[in-house]
Amino acid sequence: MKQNKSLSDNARVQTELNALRAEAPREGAVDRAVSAFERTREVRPVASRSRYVWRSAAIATAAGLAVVASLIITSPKAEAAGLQKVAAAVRAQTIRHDRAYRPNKEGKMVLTNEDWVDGVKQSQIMFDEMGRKSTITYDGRLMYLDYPGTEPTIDEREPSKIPIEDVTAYLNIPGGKVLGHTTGFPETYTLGFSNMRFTLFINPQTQLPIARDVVDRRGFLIEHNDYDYPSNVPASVFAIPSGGKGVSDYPHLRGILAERLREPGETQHVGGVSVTLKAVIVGEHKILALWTGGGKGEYIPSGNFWIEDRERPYMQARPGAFGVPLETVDNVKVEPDIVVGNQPLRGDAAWFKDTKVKVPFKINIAVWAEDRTKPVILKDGTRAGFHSRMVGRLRFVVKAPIHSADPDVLLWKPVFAGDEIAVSDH
Amino acid sequence: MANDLELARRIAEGDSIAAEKFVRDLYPSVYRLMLHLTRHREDAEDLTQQAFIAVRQRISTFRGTAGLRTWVHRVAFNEYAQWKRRRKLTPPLPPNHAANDPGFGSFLAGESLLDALATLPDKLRETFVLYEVEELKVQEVAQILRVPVGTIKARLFHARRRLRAYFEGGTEVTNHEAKQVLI
Repeated sequence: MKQNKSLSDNARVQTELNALRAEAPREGAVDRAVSAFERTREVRPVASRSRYVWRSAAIATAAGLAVVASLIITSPKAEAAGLQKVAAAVRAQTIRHDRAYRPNKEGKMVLTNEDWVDGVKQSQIMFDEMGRKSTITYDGRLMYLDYPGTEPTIDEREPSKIPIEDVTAYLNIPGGKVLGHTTGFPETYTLGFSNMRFTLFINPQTQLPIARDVVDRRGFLIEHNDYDYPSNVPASVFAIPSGGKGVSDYPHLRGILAERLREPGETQHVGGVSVTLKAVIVGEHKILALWTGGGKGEYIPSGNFWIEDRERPYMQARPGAFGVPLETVDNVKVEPDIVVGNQPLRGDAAWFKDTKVKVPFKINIAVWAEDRTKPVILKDGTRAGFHSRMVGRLRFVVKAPIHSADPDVLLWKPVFAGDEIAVSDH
Repeated sequence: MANDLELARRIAEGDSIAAEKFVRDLYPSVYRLMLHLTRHREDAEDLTQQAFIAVRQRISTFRGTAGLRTWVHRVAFNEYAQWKRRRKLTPPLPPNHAANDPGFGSFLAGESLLDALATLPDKLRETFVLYEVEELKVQEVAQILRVPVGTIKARLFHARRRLRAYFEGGTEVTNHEAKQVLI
């Protein structure tokens, strides 16, 4: 159980927290939810059986042969040993090339997934029900992501590993059993499970799977896989496309952003407060403005930033604003520096509307200052900060914003790659 | 993750045993989240059920980029966000309404913490509940709320600080925290 560092010394809080964690649903509520869940079906229209069995490319790719569960298959020892050999042979392969075919709306088998793996490098191509292509390519350092309807991106990220198709996992599938085993070429294993049955075709000389047919319990072919293990992979398979217009190359863009942050920027003054606009990042769904403040008692609050001629102040959906000194963001010791001190601050404001702005555009920033002589006193006598007042507003003309598919990803390394800020002005 | 993908696939293909276990395993956690965000038992039950219906409708779109539990919480959080928007159009219930419900049991034990949480801005409260009450990891909370990990940490910092001030008094909470909306 988590121990809340800053609250754990308060026994009462910890007791209450434990009480909240222990809160249980009322009797019958779960049953009703189970019932509703089971009565619900996919939103997608189901025109035919073949359409119904079409599953998302990503699910099937990752699940593939590596279906994993927790019960025990009942198979004769000889067949289990045979499958173990196949598993060992697959694991020994550095290079794998898999293709999955599934029935389309007309019931025709079409390519839905193509995966390449060469050590840490991997490439996944997926086609959804509409025939739209998605690509994930990882060359060991960079990952290229291209999903329908979004701008392709390049970043220093590692994708989820394509699972090794370890047929020993078959031995652990619930309710599974070996239905048949034939020798010859190819050697086959037919395995049955609660909802499906599949036949694995093995090359007896290499003990490697070469194909698989999956049928549902009504006997419909729902997936066919081809497997091969070439000795080398065409260079183009793991090639990362060039960034540029229409493709956000985050490492490159972070370099540009870091350069902007090192530059002096444009400084304006109002009511004794100085604000320097360092950079503006325009994304597909968001605009991020980065500025520095500093100086005792000043504060630039959220909700008062707008793009002139595009949005009316105070009428827009409330944007987010966040000020943190870059150097301490990781341990979140940010609060004091937001309000006081002479440390350089980073403020950012975001617009979540359509971000197709015409360059140049103007940004207005409302500037507030705290009056440290006027504390806010709550009813119980607790001090809750200080009163503040708007001292004026500043207008900046943005002539050269940085374009990035997702400004947050540009500024922050992705969630799964760690939590450090990606760009610093130090 | 392969387990999650396989489970999603089994549910999508109509495996009722897997579906029931899935709902029974995750219902309490989703329900608690809804309860502590809405502070209203009936709303929480409705939202939880709606969340699971939404999950069932979209289960085949689960890609495995996050854990299935995280994904379900994300769907549930969307339901809550929609509820919150709708609720703005109608007068809200009194904040202590939930505590007046009969049979609240352990909920009452956490009442003052809930009262304290109610003083937090939504984003801080949502983050705190996901992290501290549901005991999700920071990364999972970030995925559910779709904000960077650093933002989650900052929100937790502010939430704890304000809660500490609430319970202990005397700790200065700067005025800007009340106004600040973290991304």
